[in-house]
Amino acid sequence: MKQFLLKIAIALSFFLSFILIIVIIDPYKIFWNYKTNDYNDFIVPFNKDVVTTRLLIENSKVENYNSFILGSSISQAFETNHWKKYLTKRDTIFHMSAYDENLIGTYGKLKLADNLNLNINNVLWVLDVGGFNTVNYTTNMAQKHYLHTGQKLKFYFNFLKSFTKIKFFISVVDYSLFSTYRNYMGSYIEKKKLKRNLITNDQDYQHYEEEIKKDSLLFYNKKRLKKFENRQTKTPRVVNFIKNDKQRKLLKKISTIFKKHNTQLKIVLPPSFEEFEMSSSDIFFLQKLFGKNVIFNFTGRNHFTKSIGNFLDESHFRTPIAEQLLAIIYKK
Amino acid sequence: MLFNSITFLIFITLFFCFYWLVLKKKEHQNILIFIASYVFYGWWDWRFLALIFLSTVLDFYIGKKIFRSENRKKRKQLLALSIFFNIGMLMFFKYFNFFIDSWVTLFNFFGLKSNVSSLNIILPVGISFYTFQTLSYTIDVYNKKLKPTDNFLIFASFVSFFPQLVAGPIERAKNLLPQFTKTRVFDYNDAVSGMRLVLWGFFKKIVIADNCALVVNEIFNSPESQSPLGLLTGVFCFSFQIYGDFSGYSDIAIGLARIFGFDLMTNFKQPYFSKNIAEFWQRWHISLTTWFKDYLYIPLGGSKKTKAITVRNVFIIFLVSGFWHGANWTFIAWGFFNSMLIIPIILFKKNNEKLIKKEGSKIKDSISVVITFFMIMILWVFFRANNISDSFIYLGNLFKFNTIDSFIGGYSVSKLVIFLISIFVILDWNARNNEVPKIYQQRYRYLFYFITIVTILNFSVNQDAGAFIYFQF
Repeated sequence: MKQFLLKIAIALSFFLSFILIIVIIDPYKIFWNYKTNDYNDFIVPFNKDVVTTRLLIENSKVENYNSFILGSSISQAFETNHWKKYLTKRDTIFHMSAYDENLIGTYGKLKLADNLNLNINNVLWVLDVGGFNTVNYTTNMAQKHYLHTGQKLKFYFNFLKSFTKIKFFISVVDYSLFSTYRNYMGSYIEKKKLKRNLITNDQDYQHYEEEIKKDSLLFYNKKRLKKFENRQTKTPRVVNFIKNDKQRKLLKKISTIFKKHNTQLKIVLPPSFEEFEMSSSDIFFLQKLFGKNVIFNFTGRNHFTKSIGNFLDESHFRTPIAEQLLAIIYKK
Repeated sequence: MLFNSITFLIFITLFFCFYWLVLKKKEHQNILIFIASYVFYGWWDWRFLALIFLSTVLDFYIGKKIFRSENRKKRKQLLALSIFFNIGMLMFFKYFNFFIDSWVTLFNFFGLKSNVSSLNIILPVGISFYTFQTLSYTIDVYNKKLKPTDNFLIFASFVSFFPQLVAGPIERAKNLLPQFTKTRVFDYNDAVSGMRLVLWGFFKKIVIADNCALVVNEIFNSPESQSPLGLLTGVFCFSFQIYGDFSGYSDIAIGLARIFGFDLMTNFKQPYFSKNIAEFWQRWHISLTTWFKDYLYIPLGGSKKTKAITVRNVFIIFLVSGFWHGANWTFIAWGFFNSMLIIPIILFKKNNEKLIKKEGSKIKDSISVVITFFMIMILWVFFRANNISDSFIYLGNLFKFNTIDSFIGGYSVSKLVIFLISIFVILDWNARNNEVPKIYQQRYRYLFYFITIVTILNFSVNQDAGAFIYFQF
């Protein structure tokens, strides 16, 4: 028995050491408490849901946020300073978005804002195809914060699991010790430090505009142009985004929060280069739930989808397009 | 409570500590087994506990009464009561809606209306397994092959023993029951070999079965849009999904039981290396096939009488076996077609010739293995498809090509899954005549343990994909 327990203990201590190293380095900034400034310094491609959630919790102690931009990375084209023009001076905006944002994350963040006693007076909700899904992501970049899923153990376990990729683990330890990027690290280590505004949580999108301005042909190179190849050139595909009861239930819960706060809501169904068109039954459902005048449908084929130059890839449009969309929304 | 969950990890750690470190007497260990098994089973749904308890109480007392009775008629009646209750329970929970739906379909076929409607019945997890396990007890007592136990706790622990409760192996009372009466002492070698088996089981389940499931689900969810290559990939991956899933569970169950001093029967013996279909059925789900052999095939006359009766008995066994797997005509079709593969072997074999031939030349054996695997793989379509017509459409489309291009049809095979399956086949071959790959017992075994654990963690998919297939039976 002693020999068996000793071997189990050795195996466990090996894995505990592995876990300890990850916890000490904490590249995703999930194990310790951090100051707001620390969320601009990641050595790995970070989890935006974690950053958004932590910034909201920390900043809400000081900032009186009452206006929120919701959505996935597609919503990043909507900058808070552009939306501010359409709100009052007293409104304070927070970009409450996340990568691969879905209904679980959206509802979770709204509930969090409500629990933090913030007023949800204005919402600009950029609701793309992925925004309707209800998947519990498990990857380190896409998974939702445990405050939104209620699965704390799984949340930490999924991050720990990502380090079982040996190359990733070695890259992180190496970079943490020597702060030197080496070629073998590939995309495991964040070479380009993407800056964000730590008050509004705006991601720096202007660097794309600067790159395009500098050399648009270099920006729209072969590799990037390949992303645009899948488009249906004939009739745009009509897609049902709302397919099951779980989605409807979450949408209703979101609607309840908006009603509670008497939110001035704008739901943007954004354009996509692939020209997916939202079905009329889905639009009808959203109008019935949130109100007819709050839905702004830019899906399908329109003048935004005509040019590749309006997009960074098949789904992410550029900031000037977001400004045009805002002008249309607030003109109506 | 899935084996591959944090909840189970906490459960088994606590169980281990109490079982070996706190409780020394076998009576106390049996109490712990009983409580832990009911906690384990109740974790699925506490309502299931009433059923298993009822089945346990009934068969415990029936066993004692059968043994004490000298009256042959009374013994038969008691046995019939046990069979009626256990099979009746199985029929109701598993097959009631199937019979209703089939009845309605039949009525509709003749243009008649039926007002019978199906019920919202939850299928208790593992009911097909523990009912067969308790039935084997009462049948063996009736046949005077086994003396019944007077100890209700031992019997209840035997019925509910958590490592094998929900998906087997289906243990015989004469093998497992006496183990509860013996003093169990921690054995280092058993604990180590048990842990090895658990590790190998998790590899099969998490790395192979769960990752094959991703490909299988994608293809079987929209088979109409797949090319023949896609359909072939789907059923090929399903062959390994079901093998990895089921044999993985069995390995975990046997390994866990061994850590705690119990010896369970082997349930799989590298079945995909079988040289003919008869050999396959001696290597696949051994506990079920031997159950049917001992309690159905042999009482029907087995192969001792004429060839016609042997063929009849084989046909019945496979139909019943198919039906045991699920309440769907696809499982019955699967059983039927399996019998169609074995019956010619029986019909054309010479007297006294064995169904399973000895090893011949390596090339001939390899060809036989490939052909046998191909036949088994094709029949798995019935096992996985939603209904009979989908099965036939799948198979029809699988063979609908006349050029290589029309076969491939733009389908891109998942290289990762094919790589994983290839590694698994090599390791499974390395494990033949052994429980686990021989690399786990050699000099650099700790390195292979480490690689296996890292691979399991690396390839684990999300929880929703993690349930074992055979839990639905």
